[in-house]
Amino acid sequence: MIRKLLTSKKGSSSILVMLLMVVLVVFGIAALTTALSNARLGQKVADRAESYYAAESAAFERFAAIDKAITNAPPHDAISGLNAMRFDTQIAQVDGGVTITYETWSGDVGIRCVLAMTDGDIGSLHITEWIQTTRDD
Amino acid sequence: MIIHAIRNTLRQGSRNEKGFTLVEVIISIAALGIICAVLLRLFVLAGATNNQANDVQDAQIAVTSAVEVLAASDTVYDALDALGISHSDSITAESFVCPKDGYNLIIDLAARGDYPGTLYDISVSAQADDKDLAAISTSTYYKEQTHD
Repeated sequence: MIRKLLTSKKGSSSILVMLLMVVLVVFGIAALTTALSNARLGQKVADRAESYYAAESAAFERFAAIDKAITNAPPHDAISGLNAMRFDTQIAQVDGGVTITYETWSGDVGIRCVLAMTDGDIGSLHITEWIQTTRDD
Repeated sequence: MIIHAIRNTLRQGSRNEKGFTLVEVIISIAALGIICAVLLRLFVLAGATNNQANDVQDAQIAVTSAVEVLAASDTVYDALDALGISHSDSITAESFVCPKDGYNLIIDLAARGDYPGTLYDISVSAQADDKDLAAISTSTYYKEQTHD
């Protein structure tokens, strides 16, 4: 039976055509899968950028609030203005100045920000660190 | 097994004088045509999806780049100058449209709050045929820019 099947030439062209079709289907599916992966990757990058800029937005808002608190604080007592703020910031006295550290988050993406200011010079407040962090770090 | 059968057919094919009738050939070509049309759609869909993904990625890069220019400048006016956008001398809430290759870059700016510097809400989007390809919203504090 098997020998008869092997020696018979009937239907061999159908087999060739079917093989060709299978190859075409495999290539088509591979091309579509690659394209969909590309689209998914693009969406993931866009989502990540959205989270990053949301965290950065919160960081800039806090920077503005700190600037305002320092400006409105009594002269030579900027720290009292900072302490009056409700949000979580770490304030450290360093040689001749103050550093203010805080983090803002959006989803898994965060911004760690360090501001520095020279004692008695409220105009000297500036960013010294602006680092992206993630929950895994 | 299949290779053996194919080889057998090829070897015997030259001795076989039987052919196909015209109807058989037409039916087989029609059947193959239908199957190939379905398969071709698969390739066309893959190509369209790929092009769309590329457009979105290009737009995302353009939007990110514009946001970075806006965030890195000392004042919003410096940023707009760097982006080659003409502007008025005082911006509190304004929208700018920059035509790019294949899409429009739309920049919305709005100053808010009462701070020593100026805090701007920034929204940048790339639109093609009234459809958002990419969009980013953020805020930037221009410490050096006093209130207008």
